[in-house]
Amino acid sequence: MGPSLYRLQKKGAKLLTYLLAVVIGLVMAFPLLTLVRVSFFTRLELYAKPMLWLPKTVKWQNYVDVLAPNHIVPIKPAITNSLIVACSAATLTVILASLAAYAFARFRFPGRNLLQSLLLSVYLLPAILFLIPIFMMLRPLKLLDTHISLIVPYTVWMTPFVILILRDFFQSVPEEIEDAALVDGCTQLSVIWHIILPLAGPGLVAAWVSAFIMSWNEFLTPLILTSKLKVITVALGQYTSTYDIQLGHMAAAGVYAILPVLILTLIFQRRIEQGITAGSLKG
Amino acid sequence: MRRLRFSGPTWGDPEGANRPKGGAAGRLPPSIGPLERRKRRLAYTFIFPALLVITALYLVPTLVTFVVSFEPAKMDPNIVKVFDPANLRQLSLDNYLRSFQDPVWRKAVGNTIWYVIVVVVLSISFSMVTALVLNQSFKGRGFLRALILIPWAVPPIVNGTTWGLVYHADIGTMNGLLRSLGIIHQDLLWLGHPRLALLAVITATVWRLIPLVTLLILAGLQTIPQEIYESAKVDGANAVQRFWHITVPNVRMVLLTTATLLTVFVTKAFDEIWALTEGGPSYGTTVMNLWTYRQAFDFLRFGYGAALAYILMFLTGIVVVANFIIRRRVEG
Repeated sequence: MGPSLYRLQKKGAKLLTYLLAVVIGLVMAFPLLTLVRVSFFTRLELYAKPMLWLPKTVKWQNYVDVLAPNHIVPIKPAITNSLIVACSAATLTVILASLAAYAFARFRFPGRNLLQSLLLSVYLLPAILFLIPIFMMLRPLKLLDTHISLIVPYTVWMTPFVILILRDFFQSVPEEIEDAALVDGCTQLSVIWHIILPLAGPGLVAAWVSAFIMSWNEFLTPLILTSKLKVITVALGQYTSTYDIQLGHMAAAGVYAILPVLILTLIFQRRIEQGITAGSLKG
Repeated sequence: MRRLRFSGPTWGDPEGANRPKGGAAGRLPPSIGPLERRKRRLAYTFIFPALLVITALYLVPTLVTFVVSFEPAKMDPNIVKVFDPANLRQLSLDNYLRSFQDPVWRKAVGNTIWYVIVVVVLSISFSMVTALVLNQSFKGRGFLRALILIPWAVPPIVNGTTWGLVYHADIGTMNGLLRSLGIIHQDLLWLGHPRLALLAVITATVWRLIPLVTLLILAGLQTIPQEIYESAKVDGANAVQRFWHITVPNVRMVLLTTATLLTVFVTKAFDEIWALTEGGPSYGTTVMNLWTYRQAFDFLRFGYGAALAYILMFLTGIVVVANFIIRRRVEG
C-alpha cells in the first residue's frame, strides 16, 4: 500500500465521520426543532398550504398565552407543583440513598451482595404492580391529590437507582483519608460530615439533579394518583383532550416542560453521563 | 467495582493481609475484631432507613398485588378489602385464565413483542454508529455529544407530544419532509393506520433511548486497547474486518446487557404511546403495559389488572434470566 493511498483512505475516513456526524445530529435535532418551530407559529401560519418551514416573524404570543391564569390547561400552577414535588423527592432520595450508598461502598458485611441484588431487582417490576395497592391505600386515607402522594412514591423508587450512582462516587473517594481521620479519633459520623460529604459533594449534587429530572419527567404515577392537582407532565397530556386543540399552545407548554431539565442536563453533562452508565451497567 | 486488597493491612480491614487471596468478595474472616464489628453495625444502621422504605412501599405492595391478582376481577378499591375474608375465600386463577380469552390482551402481547424487538434492534444499530463516530476525534465532537444526551432529559410525555407534531397528518414535519424530498405526493395519515402508528411509536421510543444506549456502547468501546487495532492494520485488515473481528467481539457482552436493559425499559414504556395514540387505532399500538393500566384504572378491574401486571413481569423476568444464563455460559 503506497503512502498516497494510505493518506487518501485516511481522508476518506475523516469525511465519512463528518458525514455521519451531520446525519446523526440532524436526526437527533429534528423532533425538537419541530416542537420549537410549532411554538412560534400562529394558527394561520401553521395550517398554511404549501407548508411554511419557518414563521414569518418570531412571536412569543404562545409562550405568553399558556402562562395566563385563565388558560385552558393550568400550566403555571402545574409548573409550581412539579417544582415542589421534584425538589422534595430529590432531596429525600439523596438523604436516604447517600447513607446506604456509603455503607455499600465502604463496609463488607454479611448480606451485602444479597441486598445489592435486591435493589437491582426493583427495576424489573412494572410500576403498575405497586401503583395498584398504593392507589388502594391512599384512596381511603384521602391522600390522593396531595403533594405527599407523589413525593413518597417517587422517593421510594428513585432510591435504589441513586444508591447505585452514589456508591460509585463514594468509591472514588480515597479511603486512606477517612482512615487517617478515624485514627485521629473522629467518629464515623463526623468523618462522613467533615470529610466524605465535601469530597463527594459534586457526586451528591449530580445525584440530586438526576433524581430531580426523574421526578419532573414522571407521568404514569401522577396520572393515577392525582386528578385535581396537576403536575406539568399530566397538564401537558390534557391538551389532546381539549376541544379545538391549539397546537401552538401545546408546543409552547412542551418547551416550558423541557427547559428546566434541559438546562440541568447541559450544566451537569459529564456527571449525568457517568450516572447513566454507572446506574445501568455496573450493578 | 472491587478494590484490590493485596497492599498489606489497612485500617478498615485489619485482617486483610491474612485473608486468602481470590476469595469471594464480601466473605468475612471467621473472627472479627471490635473495629470491624462496629463498622458492621454502622453499615446496617446506614442501610436500614432506605431498606425500610423500599420494603414498606415497594416490596410489600408488590406482594399485596400478588394477592389481589387471585381475587375477583372487579373489587372494591380499598386496601382493607384485599384481606377481607369474604374476598380471601374467593381466591382463584380466574384472572390469569381470563387473559387467554381476552382478544385485546392477546393483541397487546403480539404488539409488545414487535415493539420491543424493533426498538432494541433499531436503537442498538443507530447507537452503535453514533458511538463509533463519537469514539473518533473530530471538530464538533463535544457539540454532538451534548446533542446526543438531550433526549435523556426530555420528559417522555413531551417526547410523545413532540413526535405527535412530527407525525401530524395536516401540519406534521414528517409529511412535509417526505413531500419536499419527493418521496410522497399525498399526506400520510401516520397515526390513523395501525402499522404506521406502531412505527411512529417505535421511532419516538428509539429517539429517547439513544443517549442511554450510545453511552453504554461508548463505554464498552473505550475499554478496547488501541494497540489491537494498530496491529490489525499492520496485518492489512480493513475497516469492516476490524469492526467485525475486533469491535463486535469486544462489546458483545455490553450489547447483551444493553439489550436486556432495553427490554426491561421498553416493556414499561407508556408515555409516548399515551401521547401519540392512546393505544389506537383499532388497538394497533396497545401494548401490555397500556392494557394493564386500562383494566386497572379505567375499568377499575383491579384483580384482572394485577394479574396482567404479574404476567408482564414474568415475561420480562424470562428475558433477564436468559441474559444471566448466556452471560454465565460465555464467561465460563
